Amino acid sequence: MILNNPLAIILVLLIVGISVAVTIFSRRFTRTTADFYVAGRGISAVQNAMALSGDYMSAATFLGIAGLVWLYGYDGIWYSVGFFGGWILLLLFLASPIRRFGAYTIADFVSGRFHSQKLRLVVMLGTILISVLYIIPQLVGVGDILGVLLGWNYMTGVVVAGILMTIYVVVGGMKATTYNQIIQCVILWTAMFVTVALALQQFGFSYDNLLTQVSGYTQPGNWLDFQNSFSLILGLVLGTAGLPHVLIRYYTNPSGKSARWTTVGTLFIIGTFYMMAPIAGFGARALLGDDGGLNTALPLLAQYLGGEAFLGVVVAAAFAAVLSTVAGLMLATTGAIAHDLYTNIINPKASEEKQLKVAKLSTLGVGILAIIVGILAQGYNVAFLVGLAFAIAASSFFPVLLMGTWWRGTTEKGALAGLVVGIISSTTIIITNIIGLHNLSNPAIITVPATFIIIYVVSRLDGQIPYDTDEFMLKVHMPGDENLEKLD
Amino acid sequence: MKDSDNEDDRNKIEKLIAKNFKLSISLGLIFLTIILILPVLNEFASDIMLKPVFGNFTVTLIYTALFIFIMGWIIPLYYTLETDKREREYEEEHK
Repeated sequence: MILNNPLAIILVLLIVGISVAVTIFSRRFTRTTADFYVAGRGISAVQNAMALSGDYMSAATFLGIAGLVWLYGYDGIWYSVGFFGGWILLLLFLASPIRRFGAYTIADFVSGRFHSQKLRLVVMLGTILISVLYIIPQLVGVGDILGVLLGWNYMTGVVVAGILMTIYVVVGGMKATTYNQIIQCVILWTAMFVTVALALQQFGFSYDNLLTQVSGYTQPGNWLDFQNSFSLILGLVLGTAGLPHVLIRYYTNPSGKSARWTTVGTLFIIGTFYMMAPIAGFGARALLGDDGGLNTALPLLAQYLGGEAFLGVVVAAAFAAVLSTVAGLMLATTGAIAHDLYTNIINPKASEEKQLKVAKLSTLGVGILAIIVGILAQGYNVAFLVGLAFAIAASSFFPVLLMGTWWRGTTEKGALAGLVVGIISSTTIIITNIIGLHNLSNPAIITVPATFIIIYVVSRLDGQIPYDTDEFMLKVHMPGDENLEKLD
Repeated sequence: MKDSDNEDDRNKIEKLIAKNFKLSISLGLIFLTIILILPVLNEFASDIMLKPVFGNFTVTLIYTALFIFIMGWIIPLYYTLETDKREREYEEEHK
């Protein structure tokens, strides 16, 4: 191992130290399964907005967007817009109803609506698939950045990050994850802000002057054609609203109202961040020319602007980005395995103590799996892989959650058909694109409408609306937080 | 409470759900249109979209890197304030 940037090492170790301290502090609050999965539903709107932002501002966001804009120019901004836009749909259609339902996982919500173990199983598998697809690029990001910039080999970076996040999720559960994500949100946003400010300083604080230097990169079409741009943006927008690790954070809010304000706060934090990320990408193109890198344009820009010291800060921030996102994904995956599979299907009579033990053991297993998969996935572009996770979420979870929440005519068979068709069709289109059978890299343009149609048609043909659909609708839409307390 | 009271309450809540859905779907469609029309305009109205507005900022760049974000703050803020207001009114009616 070559330690060629002592400051970066110190800052990374500082983040590790803070995460461990927060975890030890939060340990005392993690005694029940409700503490482990949803932090006792006591996270305020401001806290949750910051935690959700930390959760969502992943390696793909922090490293990937700047890298894509550096390489392709304007077309890379599609990711900024898509990652941001999904939150509006999440707020308008799902945030409040999901919190009002008040459970632990997305499978709980779907199963509560349709009373179906089959659906619970499919949603559980979908959660694992989406989360693993999302974890891979995060770990690829951490391996790349620690490898290239600190001289650590790729495997060391993945293993260090993997072990750390596993420890803090196992020991501190949602509470520790939340506090760590809040700290990581502040680190990430500040690092991006300072990078952009320093980059603009090189051009007399004029964005226009910066654009003059990158004139060949400011128009669309350097990378994506019309069909792929449209499909990518649809997939990113609807996919955000169907991501399990984002959706489960709403269960930590005390009320439906605070879930809505959480989303508004998140939109302000991530919106400013996504406005800055392309500026960093254009800055990297203008200042580094062809000497950037797809996953390393931002840190290399930081090195150019602030030397080894600032490089250290950005490396530490990228490390924080990975930790916060992977911890959230691990909680979603753990919930799917321990809560949906074990507690609800395998052993419904498990004691509280046993459930908590299984949850922690599952986290450990997911952590080991994530490390192995992360090592095997070396060399993939982070933003592209995250785009695939979004495509699957957009084509399966979002249509089912939307129709299940707002259309009482949705039936178990309709939801099941929609989920299966959405997951299989989006995965098939992605795989056939990778092996070169067609050039549609994001399947949302086909699979999202197909899933909505399937749910509608099968539900209409089936007609078996669950007996308590009206009660469910009242529960998730009824105004007033005192009603929520009653129903929880 | 009598069954007729329950029925009455349920009707009121169903009306509220329908009203909320109308608000959500209207704002959702507005935002989706704003965001999804961008690749369409880039493809079929590229002359307009690539026109510089000030300096090197073209219409498409301002739309993508500024306008969408501003709308993405205004719409949620309006929705949240409006929903809070409706819930307050509902709660006051049912005190």
